[in-house]
This record gives sequence, C-alpha cells and structure tokens, in this order.
Amino acid sequence: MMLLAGVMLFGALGAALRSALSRLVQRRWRSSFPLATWLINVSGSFALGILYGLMHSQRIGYETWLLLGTGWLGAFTTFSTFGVEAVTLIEQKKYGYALFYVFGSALIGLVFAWLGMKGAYNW
Amino acid sequence: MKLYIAVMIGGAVGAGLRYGVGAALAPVEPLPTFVINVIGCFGLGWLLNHEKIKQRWPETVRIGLGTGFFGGLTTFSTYAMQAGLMMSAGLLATASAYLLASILFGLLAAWLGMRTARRGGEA
Repeated sequence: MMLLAGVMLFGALGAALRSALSRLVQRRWRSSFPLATWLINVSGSFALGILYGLMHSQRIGYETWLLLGTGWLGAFTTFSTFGVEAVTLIEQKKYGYALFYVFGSALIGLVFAWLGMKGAYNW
Repeated sequence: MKLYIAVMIGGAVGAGLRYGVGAALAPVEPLPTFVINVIGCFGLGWLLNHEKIKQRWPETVRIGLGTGFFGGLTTFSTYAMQAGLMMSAGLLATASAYLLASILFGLLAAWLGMRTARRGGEA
C-alpha cells in the first residue's frame, strides 16, 4: 500500500516533467517531427537501463527501482503519445518521418536502455 | 499551474494502475506492459479526436486525462528495456517480435481510437 502511494507520487512527478519538457521543446521546434516525445522516450529508456543495472548489481534496492523505474520513468516516458503521433505522421503522408520516428524510437531506445544497463552494471 | 496539477493527478492514477496491473500479473511480463500500451494508444487516440469532448470538456480534464492519465499509464522506457533484456539474453527473435508487435498493435489501436472518435464525435 505504501509502495503504491510511492509509485503514484513519483508517477505524478514523471508526468509533470514530461509535460514541462514537451512544452519547452515544442516552443522552439517548428518541424512536424515529434522531437519532444522522441527525446523523452530515448532519454527515459537510457535512465531506466541505468537504474536496472544499479538494481542488478545491488546498489539500489527493489523498492527504489519501483519508485524511480516504474513510477517516475514509467510515467515520464509514454507509449500512447508515441502511437498517436506516429499515426498522425502517417495520416499527413510524412512517411519518412513516420518510419524514422517509429523505428528510431524503438531501436535507439533499446540500444540506450542496453547501454545504460551495461554501463551501470560494470561501473 | 492548474494544468500541471491535472497532469500530476492523472499521472499518479495512470502510474498506480500500471503498477497494480503489473504486480497482479508479475510473472507474465512483458504481457501487462504490452496490453496497457495498446489500450492506452486507443484511449489517447479517441480522447484527442473527439469533437464533442474538445468542445465541451474543460482543458484541465482533457490534459489531465490525455497527458496525465494515458501518458502515465503507458510507458516506453519499460518497453525498450524489456526488449534490450531479451536481446542481451540472446533472444533476438523474441525481442524483434515484441518490438514489432507493440508498434503494430499500438499504432493500429491509436488509429482505431482516432477513427472511432471522429465517427462518433461529429456534432
């Protein structure tokens, strides 16, 4: 029950940070490529990888992992906006952007998660 | 300020629900993340494209639900990290299938949500 409350608290912070960052980027970025969500998802995947590496090498506990990983970074990154933005790019016939956005998010996110994981584990 | 409070409330509920579903179904990861991400794509696509909602619901409620709840419910970092873990375990086919299935069903759900809302929401 305490853990659920903690995950909710950190989830609130993660969602607010995403909202703030996304506004900040969108004010300066004029292209229809969804840079804000891309940056948020890739950086969040990297950070989650680091956390996982730290947990796996027992430098942080499982509860910290739940609060920061599941709560904060889980809510900071988002899949629903990713999906809607990708479909919007396809509807606008911006196929190049759509392809890069979809696979650039998934593959670069995966590589960064992996790098964070290995880096933190071996550090 | 009001919008941030709405995002935080929505984000807390979304992250809490994701944690609850994940905890209830823990041994079958990554299935909960997959299902949550696909449902969230449908929900956000629907919410953002419903004409009546755009006209009649206050901005705080729309942002709280969209950016907060669906953003906090779905997650990209866990998705990328799960795929990274599969890959580092040598499960290349599983990782690719997970990456592609989430993209395929996520985008399809987002598109269905958008379409359903546009059809039903015409005033």
